[in-house]
Amino acid sequence: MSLIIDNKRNGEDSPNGTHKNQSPDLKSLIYYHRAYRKISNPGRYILLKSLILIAPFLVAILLIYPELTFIMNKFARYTLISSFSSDSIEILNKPYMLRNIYILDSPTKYPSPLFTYIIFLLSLPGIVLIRKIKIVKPIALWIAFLSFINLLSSIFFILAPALFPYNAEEFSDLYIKTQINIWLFIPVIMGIALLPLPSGHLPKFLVISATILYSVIFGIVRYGVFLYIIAKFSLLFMPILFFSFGPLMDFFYIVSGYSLYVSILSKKAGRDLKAWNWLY
Amino acid sequence: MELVVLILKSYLVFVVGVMILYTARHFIFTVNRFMGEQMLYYQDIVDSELPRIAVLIPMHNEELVAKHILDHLISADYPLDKTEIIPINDHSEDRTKEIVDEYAARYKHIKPLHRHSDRRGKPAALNEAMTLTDAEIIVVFDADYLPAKGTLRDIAISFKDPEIGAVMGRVVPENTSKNLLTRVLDLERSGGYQVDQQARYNLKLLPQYGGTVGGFRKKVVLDLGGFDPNMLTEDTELTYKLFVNGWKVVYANRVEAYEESPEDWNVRSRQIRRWARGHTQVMFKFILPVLKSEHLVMKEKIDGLFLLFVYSASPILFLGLCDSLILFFLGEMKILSSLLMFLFVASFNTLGNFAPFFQIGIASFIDGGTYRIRLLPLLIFNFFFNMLYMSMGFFEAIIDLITKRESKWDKTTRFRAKDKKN
Repeated sequence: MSLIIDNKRNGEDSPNGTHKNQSPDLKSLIYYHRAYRKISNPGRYILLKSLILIAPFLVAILLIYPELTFIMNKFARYTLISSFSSDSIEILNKPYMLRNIYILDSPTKYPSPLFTYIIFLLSLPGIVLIRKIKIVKPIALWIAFLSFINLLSSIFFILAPALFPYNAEEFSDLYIKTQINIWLFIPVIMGIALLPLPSGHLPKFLVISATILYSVIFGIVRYGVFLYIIAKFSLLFMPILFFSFGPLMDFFYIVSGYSLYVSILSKKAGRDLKAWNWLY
Repeated sequence: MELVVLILKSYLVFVVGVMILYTARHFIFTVNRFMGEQMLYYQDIVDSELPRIAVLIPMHNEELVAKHILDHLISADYPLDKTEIIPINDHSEDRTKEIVDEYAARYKHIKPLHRHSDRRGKPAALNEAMTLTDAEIIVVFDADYLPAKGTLRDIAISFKDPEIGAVMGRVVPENTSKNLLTRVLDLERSGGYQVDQQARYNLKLLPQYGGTVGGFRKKVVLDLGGFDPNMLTEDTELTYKLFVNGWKVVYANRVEAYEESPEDWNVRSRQIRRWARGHTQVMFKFILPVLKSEHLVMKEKIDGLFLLFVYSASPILFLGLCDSLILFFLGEMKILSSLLMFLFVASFNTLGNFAPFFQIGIASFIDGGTYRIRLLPLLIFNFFFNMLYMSMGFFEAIIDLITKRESKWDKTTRFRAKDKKN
């Protein structure tokens, strides 16, 4: 069944683009309606193909993750060394998954009682008064969420500063492990999301590569910034860094890369008759 | 303390498990819609013997949009002798009554119902209006909709199939380019209808009757007790009532009608809060009937349960977020696999926004929305917003269940004519 009336295929186009014996306002081509159009079924081995797409990335990451964590720590050390003595910054290693990973032991700054009270007081309006300010609601909620985490953190440091369970080394350990898992997760989630799209393996491979590359650079820079903040400003900000600017932010660029690629494919498919099938 | 930590960690694992299941479900839907065999609706059937229909339009203070929908309906191509249009003026305090009466004076087949006593709200209004008509088929539109010329015919034709209890058309926002919110809602609508509803129809699962751009058999609904006036989502209730009693709901992706999306975040927050509350009310009412129904096969029961619990995902995530904050301050995050943490966060973006990003991306691809696909990352803005208001609606429904209190209908504010005035 086809709803396409393609006069060009009949080879009877007149010089002005209209069909012979046809009024000029008649459409020469009727595209499939969006309600039931679909793309061609890529065949039986779609899952196998997707595995072939994902596997090289997983293998590569598993082979080089210790080296990547070393680069991360070198960068973080470089960031910190301008403000702190090099003796206080040490790159350590410990086993994780198949091989050893590198983590950083660096200084941290415990918040003074005055600083903690100031953060506590500043967090309250972020939660209570944000409703009164004319600001887009999701952003207001985001600010309220950030303020809430800071409030919790400041309460913790007011009541039991000695019980705060993390130092820089432990935070580094948590961050590095999370980052490795993000790198492993990207090809899986991107591979699944890109799987149905009508394009070859190479472009999909490049999209995943670009996303991982971005993730590596972003992950390294973010790591340095996080460690600098907890060393220079306060340990009190550790929860907000992890919960608000941690893995949630990684999703933002994953989805951005995906959406940009789908948009490009959509533009191509828009007027390409071969891209679409009808019903079956 | 160890037990508390164990419970908290177990809950986080539970959250991740739930999200993985929902993600898998939506992935199946996406692949099915994009490359599977599509089930065509009945719109190509031509029959001169069309059923008598009554078009019910519940209206509460709809002076900004009432005229538009009536203009569209009077130009419909459905036989006039088989059409009754019943605008239900439900306790309006604005000019709705005058507008409706003006049209009734001009068109014989417009027969308004003015409600000033009894309970206000869509379910009660529909119940009353159904008793006033002898039509076999009831078609329902919310007042902000703009049905096309052939919409009534397309909806009514499906009832030639004796198994069909209700039909649902596709909702398309008309004010997409208004602001960021309307653009994001357009993406969500696309994912929900183009992929979700059509895939459920393809896979013979449970497409949902959505309470507008749709219709149902009057006798069947009356025999099943009509609408429960205490339900805030009478459409979901009807969907389940029909399915557990052996009737089918069909989805008509080709039957598109334009709606006005909320242009204001406050309006949107009230809307999704009401949806979550109403949907959860239905969940409590229909878990057991779905499980026990002899008319549903296993895959329909599973899908039915997934659909019933869909608004529970937000409070589950919300509690999961609180859970992970507690674990963080207890120092347990370093022990807990960070993979779980990431899966958990990944889940945020999956169900916090009604549909996973890949489902919305594919829906927009099919729709040909080349440029709007680039707005996908902005769905992150909706994450806390949806999670918070859906959770509030969910907990309100629990209070409804415990206290047996009466639900009050919250009407969605309109914007269309305001803009024209300005």
